Amino acid sequence: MSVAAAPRLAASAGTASIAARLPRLAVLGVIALVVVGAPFLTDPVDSTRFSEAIAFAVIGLSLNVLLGYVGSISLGHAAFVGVGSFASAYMVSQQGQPFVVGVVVAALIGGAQAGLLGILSLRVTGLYFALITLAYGAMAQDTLFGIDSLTGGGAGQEAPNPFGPSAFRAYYFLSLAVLGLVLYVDWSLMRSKAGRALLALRENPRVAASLGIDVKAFTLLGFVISGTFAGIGGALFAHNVGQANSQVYSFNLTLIFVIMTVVGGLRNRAGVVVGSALFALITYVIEKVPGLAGRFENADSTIPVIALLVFGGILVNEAVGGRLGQRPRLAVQILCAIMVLLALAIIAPGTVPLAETQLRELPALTPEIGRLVLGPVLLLVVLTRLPGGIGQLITPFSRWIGGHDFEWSSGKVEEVQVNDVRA
Amino acid sequence: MSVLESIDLCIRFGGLQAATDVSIKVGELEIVGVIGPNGAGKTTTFNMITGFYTPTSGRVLFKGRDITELAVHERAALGMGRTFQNVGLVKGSTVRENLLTAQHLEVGYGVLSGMVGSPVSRAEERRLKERADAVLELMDLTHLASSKVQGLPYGDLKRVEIATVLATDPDIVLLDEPSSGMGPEESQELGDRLLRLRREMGLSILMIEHHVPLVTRVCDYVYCLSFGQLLAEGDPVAVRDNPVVVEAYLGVAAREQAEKEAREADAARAGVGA
Repeated sequence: MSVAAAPRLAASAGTASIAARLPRLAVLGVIALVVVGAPFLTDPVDSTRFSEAIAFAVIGLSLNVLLGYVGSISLGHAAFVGVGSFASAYMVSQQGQPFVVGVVVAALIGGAQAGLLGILSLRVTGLYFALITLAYGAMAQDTLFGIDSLTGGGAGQEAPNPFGPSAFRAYYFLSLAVLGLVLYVDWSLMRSKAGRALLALRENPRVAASLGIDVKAFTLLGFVISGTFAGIGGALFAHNVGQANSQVYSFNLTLIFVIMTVVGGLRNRAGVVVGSALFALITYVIEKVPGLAGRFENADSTIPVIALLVFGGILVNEAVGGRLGQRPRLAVQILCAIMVLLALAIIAPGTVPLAETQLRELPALTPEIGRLVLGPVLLLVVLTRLPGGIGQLITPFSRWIGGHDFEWSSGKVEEVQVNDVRA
Repeated sequence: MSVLESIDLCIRFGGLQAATDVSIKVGELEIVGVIGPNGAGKTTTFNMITGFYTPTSGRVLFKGRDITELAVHERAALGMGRTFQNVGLVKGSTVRENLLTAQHLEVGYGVLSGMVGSPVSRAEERRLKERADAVLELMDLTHLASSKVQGLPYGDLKRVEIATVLATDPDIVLLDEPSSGMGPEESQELGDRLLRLRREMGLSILMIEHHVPLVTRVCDYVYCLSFGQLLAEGDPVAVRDNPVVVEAYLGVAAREQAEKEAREADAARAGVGA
């Protein structure tokens, strides 16, 4: 037994030969290559899509601070992000300041507004606080973002790319650097006193207080950090598109932000980044896969309907208390059969006797809707089957790259952590 | 001077008078026990002393200073630590991480410095980790340092919780049923440990405890609460044998039995004397 254990010990002690590390380094290299090479393998304009994914990742990390660390929800995050966008756009295009100043101002204003909302969260919690953030988001879009001199009104405020109007690739790498910075701050935060205080007060504010943690002060700090990240994300988002327009920062966008963060996996940095990027890139993928975009634009709306069916199937299965790996109840089996038939009718017309016209009369959907169709399906899967989100799937690999043994269960999240967001 | 003193603490929840005139004193290096049947107001008293409840009237003094108006974390900063009946730990973190969290007030760097991972904060983190490991060793918990709190057996959790409170570097700790979930052997061990901690760390201890052998062995003084009022106080053995206390726990019949035994013992002693 000791003979078998010896090489393992050596490996975990970090004295392993290069050969033993090679597969890990290779995987890391491939990931780096994809991230760095993506803009060069595609059309230059496509880089804006990747930059958007990076901006989404920063925004996801911002929501992760609120949802994952503080345990508070924001249903007005599009407004948080929007404030950052407009602040930076205004500073650069109206005040003639450099891009860096724009981002810093966006970060500061973002932090300040989140701090104000944080003060409110100390008095109003749970569902009521969620309602207030929702109202704030809706209100900001119509009032705050409607101030012509700051936001350019309906026409939007110009937010130029600092490297020139068509330097899409350069902007991508700038975004990547900013994401790296945000990731580093987040990582340091969670290894320091403030991060530990946040985790303790989310899980049990009474215990945190008895350990000497000022629960109110650190809740506020969490809000400010989240708002700062949101402001930075907003600035990245605006300068990528070239302008900030109030119509973009709607409740739909907030919904996508919240879903992508939860699907990514709360408190899991890699998961949040991947989840956010995934949601940003859904529309890109739909456009790129041959024939897929047509399906969306066409009135037959195949994909949304299938998604709806999957959603319904899972929902019914959960509602009647079935579990994965167990034989579902008869009612579920019948429903599933109906759904499969419906799906067949859509995918392969003629196989099932169903009026084609009825299917074609379903409303037309644009690729942008892809996020809102796939989002709830993924959310439902995560909430019922995969409490750690995408991050739960990534953790075993990231631990393996870090030198640990590969173990599927290492990313598993305990049930207690699913009961997030204090209600 | 007493480390901790509560003076006539009263609290009322709506129509319920949960505590009336509770006056408790803990001297320096003293181990004081609080006993009483379920619902006697023991944990309520703890909550008033530590600041979770605001008493309707009465005062709490800590090292002679009136702390009645202070928030929970401010009392912790003065050197008051507590454990919880249902285990107060961050369950998603490891044992060592819990001890790091507990050293919150000891951390010698600012929030921003930690967020950017400054060299100062890194050196300090190493120091905190060493201190956490030292406390774990003191409590014989080194083997659990990297285990997630979630999933540990209840007896271990109780010990981890005491270690966590010790990591806050308190002058007094309030332990809420430290031996619950422990067998006789473990609770014996806990008694030894508490006596050793008092000696080595200069701790004063106020503890709610049901396990009578533990109370009589480690406590210098005992208060008995019933229906929110102090029923008896004094030497642990005397309080244990006090007929009023016996009645509170076991009912009138038991009290009469105890009184009869006491009379017989007196008579026997008188007989010997004559």
